[in-house]
Amino acid sequence: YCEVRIDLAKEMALGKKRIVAQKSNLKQRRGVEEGGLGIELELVQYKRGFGRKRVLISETRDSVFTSPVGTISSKKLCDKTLGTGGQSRELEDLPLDILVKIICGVEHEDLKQLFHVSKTIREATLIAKQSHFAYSTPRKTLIFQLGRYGLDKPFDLGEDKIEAPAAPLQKRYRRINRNEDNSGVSVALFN
Amino acid sequence: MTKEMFTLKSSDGFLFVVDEAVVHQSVTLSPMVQDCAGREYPINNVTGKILNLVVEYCKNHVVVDGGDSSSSSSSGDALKKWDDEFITQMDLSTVYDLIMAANYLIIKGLFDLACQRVADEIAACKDHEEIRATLGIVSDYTAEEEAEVLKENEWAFD
Repeated sequence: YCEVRIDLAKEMALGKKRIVAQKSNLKQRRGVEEGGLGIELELVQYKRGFGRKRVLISETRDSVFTSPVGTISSKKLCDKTLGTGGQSRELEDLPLDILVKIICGVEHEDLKQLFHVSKTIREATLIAKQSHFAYSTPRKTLIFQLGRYGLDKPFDLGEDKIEAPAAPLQKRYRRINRNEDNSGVSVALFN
Repeated sequence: MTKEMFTLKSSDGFLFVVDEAVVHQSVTLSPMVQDCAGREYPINNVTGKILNLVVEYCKNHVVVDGGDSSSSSSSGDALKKWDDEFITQMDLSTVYDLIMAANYLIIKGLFDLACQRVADEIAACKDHEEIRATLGIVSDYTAEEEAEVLKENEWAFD
């Protein structure tokens, strides 16, 4: 187990470096290279019920799969082999840009919960929030009623309790033309 | 025109013989079409188990993408159904491996499909505890840090 620990420490440093590097370069390919190496090495223990904790991988290992928070849960050290796990890959083993991509697939209301899951997930959620959710409209109930008067009803802030958590505020107030005579318009249309 | 067949070799030595249409779905592997016909092409980052799934996905997608688009909407639906069944039958650990493989081989459809599966798992969870349980994540927050995040969130999401 000693060997394992030392290697893990080395890899933690490596892992940290890698993750920093990845932050600046979010291209998938980069994640691929690193990810690729990780997969290759993981295979050795892919069989189910593989009980060995000792892993031969460490020297050639050069990937981000070692979660920088690996040592915090000592259980992880024992049960799984370095980083990826002897039997199974963990979500946090995935490169950051892939985590971001996954988080972009969740709904806005889940973002808040993701912040609490773990530091790694929070980091990825922040990035996803800034790059994706800031520019996308959350899936919510329709506030406007189109077609009633041929115009959008301005939304009543009193009724609308549900607010998109991360959408940029876009208040649009349309002029209410209820009192105006629209017959002129219809004449123009149907003449 | 005879179909060219290509042999892909997984990292643990499994061989998969596939045709050109399958290979073309991977941006990474496409160039090998010119070079490697008849030879084994090693894919060192992907195990046999995962490569098998990748090949299965690609084979299914050849029929719709490459072929004629007659009754495209119904076959599109059928394909979507197949995709859903394909991805939901796996456990999450396999899905993660599949994500990495699709990432490496650059197979966009498969990558998106697998990522969305994980996203759906997250979306199905009620709170962060459930997310942790489902995804098997151990929290690395201390009690103080967690309280801090909670405070932070309150103004961030208002």
